[in-house]
Amino acid sequence: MSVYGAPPSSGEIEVMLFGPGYGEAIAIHLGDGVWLLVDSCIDPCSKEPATGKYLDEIGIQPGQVHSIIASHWHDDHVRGISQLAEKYPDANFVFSGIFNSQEAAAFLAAYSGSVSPNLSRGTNELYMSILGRQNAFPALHRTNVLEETLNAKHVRVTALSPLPTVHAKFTSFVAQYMAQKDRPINHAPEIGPNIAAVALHIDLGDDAVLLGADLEENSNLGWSAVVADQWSGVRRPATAYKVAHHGSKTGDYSRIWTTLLMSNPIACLTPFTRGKCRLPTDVDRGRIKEHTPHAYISSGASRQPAMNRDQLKRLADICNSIALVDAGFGAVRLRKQIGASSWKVEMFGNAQAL
Amino acid sequence: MHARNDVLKTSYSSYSNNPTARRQGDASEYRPVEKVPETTFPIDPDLPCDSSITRGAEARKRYEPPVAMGFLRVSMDSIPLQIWEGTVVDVDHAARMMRVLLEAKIGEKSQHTGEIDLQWVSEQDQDLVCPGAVFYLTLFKRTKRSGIENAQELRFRRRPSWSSAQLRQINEDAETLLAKMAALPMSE
Repeated sequence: MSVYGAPPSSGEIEVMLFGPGYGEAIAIHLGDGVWLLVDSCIDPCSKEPATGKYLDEIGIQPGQVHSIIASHWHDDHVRGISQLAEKYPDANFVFSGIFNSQEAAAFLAAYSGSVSPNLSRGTNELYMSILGRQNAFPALHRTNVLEETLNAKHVRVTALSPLPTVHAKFTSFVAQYMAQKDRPINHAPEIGPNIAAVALHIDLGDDAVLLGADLEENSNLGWSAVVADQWSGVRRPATAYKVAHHGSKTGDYSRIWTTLLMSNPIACLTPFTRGKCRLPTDVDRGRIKEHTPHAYISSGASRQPAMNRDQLKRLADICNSIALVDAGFGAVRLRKQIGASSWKVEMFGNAQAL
Repeated sequence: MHARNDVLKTSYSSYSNNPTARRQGDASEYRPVEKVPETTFPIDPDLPCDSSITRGAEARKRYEPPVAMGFLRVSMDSIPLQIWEGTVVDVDHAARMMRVLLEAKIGEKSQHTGEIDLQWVSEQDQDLVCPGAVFYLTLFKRTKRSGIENAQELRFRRRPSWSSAQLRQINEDAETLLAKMAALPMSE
């Protein structure tokens, strides 16, 4: 029997957040058996995409997945998303609108196309997902990802970001990395700060959920601009928040909490480890807990290296801040009946209260 | 630091056969006894032939050895302890450091992140250090008459350049992608 128990009832909303220490995936039940999958990470035991395995285990049929959304193309958010796209062939595939240009498409093709298929896992997942479908949908600020009546409620999923100006900025930036004759073939570079991620607002008719993706703060292009936008500012405040950018300071903007969220919302997040960068930091945890006492993290496990002592001792001579990528797999699940005032929180694996 | 001294010692002993230099650690005494061509051989049948070899950063600081030296290259009598395929995630030139993702090739295929000082990268590979670049980091043991020697090798994968035919194919692939992109409605 699955550790996850029974699927949500038709009238039950669910947000399931998976995170293995480096990676993030979300499965959302919007009601009436309609599901969204946002981003993807790999279950370290089965090596399958975590959300696909989860839906199988609780008995969800492929036809129930309405959309698969790649919030952005970073490796920790798209591992296995092309497998999800293949597993759910009827689902819409939605991705950041920054790739809707000749330059950006050429960027994806150069680093992941038929010429050089394995130069970057992030671009490769996106390229394969788009290529395998009849249609794929780029999302920008105000794009309607889904709008349906479910359980007699008007449910609408819209993209808060990226802003249209980010599209132009990315296009010019990516031009620097275009394949050019006689230039060496390298892997695709990561581009930061992350202002191109698709943050989602899910209006459930009587409540809302905010998924912050990895969107970072930037006065003109990031959270400030999103929150200041007139349309964003009148969205229904959410009672559940997937904290942006692994709880980092760069993903935080105080007006998210006052404008887009109700007071004391349920906040959940995934950790991120890369060298010395380990999110959330203790300061980040403290800041989030000042905003809400109801905060949870999908994996609180140790990130100690997993290798024998001899190897570690010798590697440490060369390499500092060694940390295990998949340190401990866990998930936070939020469920609530339509019309109920509060969420029920469950934790699996290495998940814990922040 | 103890671990660093160990490396220094093994690296140093391999740089020179001159016993005086070995004992005193004097840069002026250092004389390379062999210089191998840049082209090396694969350490694993699945790995490509790459460009260079580096050793201990401390030893480099003291002796400034020639860029490509073959004394510690992975050879037939070397026993690899672990091989990692690394990808450069980003480079901090001010701190002379690169953040990397390491994927173990032997045994448990675990992934780790870490930070490597750019001094470990040979001069001839410095131009390859950029986000997305791939390198191989090998820890190995080598049996010598004097005993077992610990050594390490970090070499970057030098890839070919884009060709005209590849660029044409990229444009075709990009057109295919663009043709699949359709618009969703916008919210009012």
